[in-house]
Amino acid sequence: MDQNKLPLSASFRDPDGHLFLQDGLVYRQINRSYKAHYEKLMENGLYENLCKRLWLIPHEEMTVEGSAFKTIKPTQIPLISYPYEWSFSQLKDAALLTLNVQQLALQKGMSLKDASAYNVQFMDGKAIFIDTLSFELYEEGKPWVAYKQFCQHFLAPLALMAKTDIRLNSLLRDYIDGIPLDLASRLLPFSSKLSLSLGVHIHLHAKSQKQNADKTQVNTKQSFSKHAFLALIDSLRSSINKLNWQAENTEWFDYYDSNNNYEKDSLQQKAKIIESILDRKEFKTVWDLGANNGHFSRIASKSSAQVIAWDIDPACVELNYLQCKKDDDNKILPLLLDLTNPSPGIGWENKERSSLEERANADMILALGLIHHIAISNNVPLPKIAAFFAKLAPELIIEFVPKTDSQVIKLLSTRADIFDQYHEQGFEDAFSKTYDKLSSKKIEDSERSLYHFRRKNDA
Amino acid sequence: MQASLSLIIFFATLSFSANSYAYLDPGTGSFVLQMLVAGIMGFLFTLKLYWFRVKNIFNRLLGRPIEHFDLEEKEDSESAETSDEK
Repeated sequence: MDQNKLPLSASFRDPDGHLFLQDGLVYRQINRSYKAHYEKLMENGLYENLCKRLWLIPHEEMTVEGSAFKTIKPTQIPLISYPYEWSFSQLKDAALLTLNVQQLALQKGMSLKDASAYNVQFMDGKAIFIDTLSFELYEEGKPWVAYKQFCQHFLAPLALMAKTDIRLNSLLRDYIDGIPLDLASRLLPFSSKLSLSLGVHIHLHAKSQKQNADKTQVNTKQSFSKHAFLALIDSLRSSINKLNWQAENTEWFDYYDSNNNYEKDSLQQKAKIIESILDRKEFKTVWDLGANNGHFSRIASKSSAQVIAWDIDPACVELNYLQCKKDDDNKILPLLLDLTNPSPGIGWENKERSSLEERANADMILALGLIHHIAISNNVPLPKIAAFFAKLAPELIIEFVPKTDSQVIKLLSTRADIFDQYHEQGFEDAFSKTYDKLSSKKIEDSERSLYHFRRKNDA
Repeated sequence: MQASLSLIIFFATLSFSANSYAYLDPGTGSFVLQMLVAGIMGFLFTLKLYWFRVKNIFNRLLGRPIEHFDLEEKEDSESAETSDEK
């Protein structure tokens, strides 16, 4: 039985327990050191309350083996995503969720011992807290041990995205424990120093960290009351709520409206083809690459599948997420992705947070209006694109965008055409090495064609 | 107030307060800041709570919905959204 147990490479810092994989499922081992906290969490109604509100991931208790106190099986998350893959509002919702969980915990005599963005995942389109071991018995008198982490993982990136540049959440990839406050302080505009919330929680906080870097513990007769704690949570919540970002004026956000390459009929025809392919069998997960505002993700989600809508443009991901929230859509998850530079493995041994490829569990990929950007704008040869897509999923619906298409003409207008192999035949040859062609259809009123491929050696 | 403030600012190294449950390194700076602003934040929060209570009195009189601050109170009402109405 132990041979099948693989401790998860991200889960090693907490002496109270760790996650492990067994027979393809994720379990959490809880050690004796956590016994008192776990019992309080389960018995005083906090667990029930959190699960009822869909704020915390529910779990099943399993039979214990060895010296562990308990083994639990949490509800499995279909796709693990990371804060640097989230849009502005997704990170904001994750931040607010963390504060809500903390407030409810405090009201029930417990407190979160960490406030990492990696404690939150997205399931059924909504943020949910997944770290069941993060709750500890609350001892009144001490300030929040997770305050710094909350500011670095949530407040700093959100402030930078709202006030400096939307792309700065990519700093979360470089700084696995959140953006250092002194860095955030330097990058934020001067006006942020005049804001009471950012002034205290970022700027003053950074200064205090620097000033006390060589000190150990503070001797103080003052204690941090529960009232002060609730005041802190409320202050952080106000700070987060005040941060807003308008999703517009990026490269792609108005693509479908302003683009006359998409006649209504051709859009409808594409939609019909995709729907019919997806209805043919049970697809569990579809990855829509270059999903833009999610137009075709919504069509794909009409089938049985969950859809992950990946796009490079923060505005597209944001608008898609806001739309999903408005529709209460629990089948689509929009996420940020640059296909030419996808999320790598980071952290200890580059294994704490997995690369995109390692997390790929899709049955089908949609690559609509995409290939010319990778092949022409980014000079990636077609066979390499085929090989990469094949690593992500066994089936593929892809739109070939030829040189006669108006978008490609635009791309080639200011550069030399070095793409001898970029034509219909070259495309089919390149993809035939990795895939079998199941069908192809030229789209009416357009130069483009839609292909359905299945990976070779996949029955 | 002055006395406790100076106490905070004037630190002495002491043995760690044994917090065996915290594997996280809180950073002394973060602790210090929280202690520093606890007083004023607590005071402003108290004002906010009183303001909510006053507002709710008027809400009740005018037959408008009552705004909740305490997350637990909201269990009885339909929505379980965050309590901050801002």
